[in-house]
Amino acid sequence: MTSSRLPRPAGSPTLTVSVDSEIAEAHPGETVATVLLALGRQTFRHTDHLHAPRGLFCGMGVCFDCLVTIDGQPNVRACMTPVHAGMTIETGGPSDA
Amino acid sequence: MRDRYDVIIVGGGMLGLATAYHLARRGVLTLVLGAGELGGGSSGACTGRAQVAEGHLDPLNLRLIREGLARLETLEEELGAAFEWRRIGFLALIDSQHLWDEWTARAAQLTAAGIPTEMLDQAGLRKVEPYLNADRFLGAAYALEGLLNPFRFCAAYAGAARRHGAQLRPRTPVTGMRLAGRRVIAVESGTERFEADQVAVMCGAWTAPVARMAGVELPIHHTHAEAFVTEPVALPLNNTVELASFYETIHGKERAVSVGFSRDAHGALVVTEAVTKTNEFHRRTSAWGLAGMAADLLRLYPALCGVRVVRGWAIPTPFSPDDEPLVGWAPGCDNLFVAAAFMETITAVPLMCDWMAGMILGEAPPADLTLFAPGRFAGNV
Amino acid sequence: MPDVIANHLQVELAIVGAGPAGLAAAAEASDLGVPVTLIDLFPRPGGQYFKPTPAELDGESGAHLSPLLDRLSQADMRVISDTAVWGIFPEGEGYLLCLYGPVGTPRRLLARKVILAPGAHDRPVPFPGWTLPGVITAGAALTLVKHQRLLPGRRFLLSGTGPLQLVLARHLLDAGGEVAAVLDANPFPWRGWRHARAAWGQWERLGEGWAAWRSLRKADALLRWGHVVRRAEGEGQVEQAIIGPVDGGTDEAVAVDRIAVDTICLGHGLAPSVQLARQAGCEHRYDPDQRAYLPVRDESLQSTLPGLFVVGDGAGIGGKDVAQWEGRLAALAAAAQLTRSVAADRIAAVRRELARQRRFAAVLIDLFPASAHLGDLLTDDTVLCRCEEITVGEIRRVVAEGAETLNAVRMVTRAGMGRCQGRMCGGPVSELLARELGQPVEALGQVTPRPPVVPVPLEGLLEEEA
Repeated sequence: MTSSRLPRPAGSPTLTVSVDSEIAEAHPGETVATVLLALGRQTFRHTDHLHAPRGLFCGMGVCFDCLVTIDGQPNVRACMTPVHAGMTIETGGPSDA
Repeated sequence: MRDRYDVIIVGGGMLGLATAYHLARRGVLTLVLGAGELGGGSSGACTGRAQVAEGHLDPLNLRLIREGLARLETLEEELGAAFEWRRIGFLALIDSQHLWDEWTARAAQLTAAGIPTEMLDQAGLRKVEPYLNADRFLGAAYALEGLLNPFRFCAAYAGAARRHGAQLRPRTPVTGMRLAGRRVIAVESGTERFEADQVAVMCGAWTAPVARMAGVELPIHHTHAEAFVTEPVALPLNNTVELASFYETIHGKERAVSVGFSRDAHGALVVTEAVTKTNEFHRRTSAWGLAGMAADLLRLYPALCGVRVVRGWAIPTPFSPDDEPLVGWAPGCDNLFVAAAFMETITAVPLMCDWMAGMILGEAPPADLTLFAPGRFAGNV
Repeated sequence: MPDVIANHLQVELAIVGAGPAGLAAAAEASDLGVPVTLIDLFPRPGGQYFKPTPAELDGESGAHLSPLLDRLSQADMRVISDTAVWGIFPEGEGYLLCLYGPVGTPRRLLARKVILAPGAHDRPVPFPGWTLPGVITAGAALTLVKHQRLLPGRRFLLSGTGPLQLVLARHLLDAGGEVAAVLDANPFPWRGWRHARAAWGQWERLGEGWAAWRSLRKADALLRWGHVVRRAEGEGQVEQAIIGPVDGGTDEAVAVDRIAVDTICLGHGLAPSVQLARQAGCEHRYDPDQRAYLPVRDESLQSTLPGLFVVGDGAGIGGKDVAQWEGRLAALAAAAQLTRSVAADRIAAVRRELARQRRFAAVLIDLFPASAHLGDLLTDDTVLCRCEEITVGEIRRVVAEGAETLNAVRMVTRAGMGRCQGRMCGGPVSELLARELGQPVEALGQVTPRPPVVPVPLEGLLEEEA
């Protein structure tokens, strides 16, 4: 597990999301990318052609590399999506089928 | 770089490049002048459909489609380059009884002519297109057509033309022509001058203004057509889809949208067509056009909600008064050959450009092309 | 034939982008009695420079980031957040802006005057292995550690140029990370003494840089000038980096070091986000110092389109202070065009301060340019277009077959046709082409930007929400 959260303010609330069918804890205000990285997940998907692993790159929504499936919607940018309680996040697989 | 050629072709799209290939194969010194990038005009702006079912049903056109399609099957091998060629189903969605009747007759004629086309009722349509919102359609006509990558198609012809000795000059717009009597003796691009025995003009909607430089008036008009492409789509949309009501929808209107699409080799949808009546030559896209095509596509395929549009583009699209192409020697000039305003262009290219190469060299074409004669509108320009 | 405009929101002044330039423009316009509509891509205003940390993660409010943010709650300011402007079209004497945002956001807006303040993004610099998970931009690292309060790795290599790298390094160290090395592609800024005059008064900035430097020395981080990461390696993610001199090319004999890291942060400066201004039709010209196409502007920062201004990093990298003063200057000009009365001495004061800030910004460009040697690192198997996975080798092949322009390469290889719309690969492909053809970048043409300038879902293009 390489990435790690810095201390949150005392008493700050948490919420739960599911990441590839496993329950994970997150904090309001975090993006899906943050939650995945904090779980030690650097690879968010594989490319169509070379099946190469990709994860976060630009962190600001311009590179479209950090794509995951969120609440059933495919190809959503993890770095631009704040988590909400009960969100389902799915990683992996080619991004167009 | 020489300045004297046997043939100069004005137009760096599929027609010009394929004709150059056929000329160069015959050892003819050929120069292609394209205003922009090779294939960067109408050729690159299309979806890459090799259409078979929507053209005129006279024997000439049917022959072009049949034989063109056959040539396309082996063209990648012939040119030594891949262009994502494949056969794919085509659906003309029918929403009125009169269109159903028209297409039923059309389907019978096409089938008899060797282009199998069948009629699907609504149930049959739903079966082949489960994601289509088929409620308002009586059914569809279905035929097997072709699909390719138009950029690579042009690049394949360009590469082959070059290998056989043709000179290709993109980003070289023709700005004028020099005449001696009824002969074009030189073609100018800025300060550059190129001389040739024959000049062929096949540059899409710009064919008319370029021919005008040689004093030739051609009845080639154009509309402005917009399209867009999406990100790759997971939904298995495996047929090319058009609305049979396209011409009714567009005809006579200042602007109108009739949606259609193909799915390219990367899974992206190339979506057409927002049409605007205009005399201007421009390539701007509009908010209206993008919104109109998107709205109509979502009405047909609600499951596409959420799919992102990545780019829009537009191109002037040529047509002639009777919707048949202009192919042949231009009236009023001794050595200007023209070819423009095709309907099912890609399918026709492999055969037509081979024939046109011969015609430019003074040979009679293998079929009677009176139907396409540029001078047929004499008095009605 | 005009679009149906009766239902469209009509405003006097639309400002696109709520970073320092947009915020300052809004404040200045408001001071002159011009109501402002500010449209911003992110959930909360501030852009990249004044990005607020979510309160839930930090406990502090964002107000101290800039007093400009406080102005936004004024009555004459409308802020439309989480919203992209995907197209701008001249309409009558003003402009039609096409918007896509959350439910309830207007889809179309007619503005008499427009100020674009779209900012910039990290300059993408490809090298073998740069697509491996674990390679991120310096901007991404800074956002994660400062605003998401996440340390995005354990052992870091920073490769890029300029003092922002030191700032990032200090943040990573403060957060408990190990910084194995900081590499600056440029040589040590010996020439810095020449800029002493421009640097005079910039004490806060100089102080930050010095503090960062000391932290790094204390942490035993490797600090090297004229060096870059040449290759990233690992099984499915970054495990080690090969580092070496920037001008060593791909020569195997060049002395390199192999260091174990799990995260590589690339900080080679910023690239202006010019797509919207270009799509609108503003003329752009290549700036060899910035290695970017920048909008042509008059002295009021108006583009070649009347009534449309471009300010801040989106018009050329200058940093947050240049951005703010540019925002103010453009707002004054827009207000004057809207026939508000604008005091000549205010204009003069703004111009003076802008000039001062530009002098300092110019120092950084001079000392820390995007290195010209970065293209030497590319091997044939390096992926250049990340979206479509087009390699350097494929591009070299089509160049050998006759492609001579950016458009020709793009058409045949698809480089630039993916979701990022060429933002990542446009610069690198141009520079590769320039090297292969021995031509300057300006000679290679540009891809015409078309709407939508950011990818928009089908339903988002419609004039009305479904």
